[in-house]
Amino acid sequence: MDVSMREPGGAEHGAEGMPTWNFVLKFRLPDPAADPADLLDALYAAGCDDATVGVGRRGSIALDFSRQAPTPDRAVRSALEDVRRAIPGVVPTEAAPDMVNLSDLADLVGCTRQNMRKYAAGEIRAVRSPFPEPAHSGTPSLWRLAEVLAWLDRNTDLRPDPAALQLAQAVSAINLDVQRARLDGSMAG
Amino acid sequence: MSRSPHPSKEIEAAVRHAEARGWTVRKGRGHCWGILRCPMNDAECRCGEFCQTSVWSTPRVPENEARKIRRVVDGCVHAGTGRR
Repeated sequence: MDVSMREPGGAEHGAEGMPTWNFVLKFRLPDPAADPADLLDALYAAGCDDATVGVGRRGSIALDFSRQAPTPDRAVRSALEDVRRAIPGVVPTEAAPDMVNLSDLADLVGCTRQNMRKYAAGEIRAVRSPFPEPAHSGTPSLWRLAEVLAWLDRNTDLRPDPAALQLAQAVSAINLDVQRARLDGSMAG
Repeated sequence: MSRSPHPSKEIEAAVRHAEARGWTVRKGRGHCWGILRCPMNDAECRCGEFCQTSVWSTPRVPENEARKIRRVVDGCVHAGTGRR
């Protein structure tokens, strides 16, 4: 199985040994009316030349990173540091991929949506444990990518790249911090 | 379209792929070579922030930048089918 190595969620193993981690970080800008394009040079100077930057929403900015680092945790955290250095007061709002729907899961894992739906619905018999519960049940339901990759590894022939699982875990950890900070912020007076 | 080509062949090819599907290029300044804009560029667009995607003049790895340009464009519901 191949969490596509060069897409967000994937990790590439370079010839030199240092892997490349692919993930997206989204931020709220301190000034809601700010044009994110004005911040590009500062981001470049801070080391974000390994990210493609989305500047289509005022007050917001998104960076699609392909970052070389020994671990995914270092990759994601160094990326956050670079953006914070470039844009004082910037607030991370989301890291991806983490919360994913059935179609996203199928794409990331490289199987059909129908197959993934069957796994999720418990219609594939020869498994050792039940499919993970969605993180959010609804229309659509959303799953934590790290949980599904771990489950696939233990219960199916689809063997996720261990690096992809590590990356999903690192991205999910960032999101937990971000969500906690957002909740705390909403409760502050 | 009167614009100078991107110095990287791979990125230039990705930009042409974007243009063939209705995306436009706005000239950038500083390290930003240009900004690729989605044909619709509306609030409903699934591309989100990537409705306008910045392209570096000198990205760290041009191949990666080119690939991401293609990904945004190929994922855009508003892009035309164009030539592949």
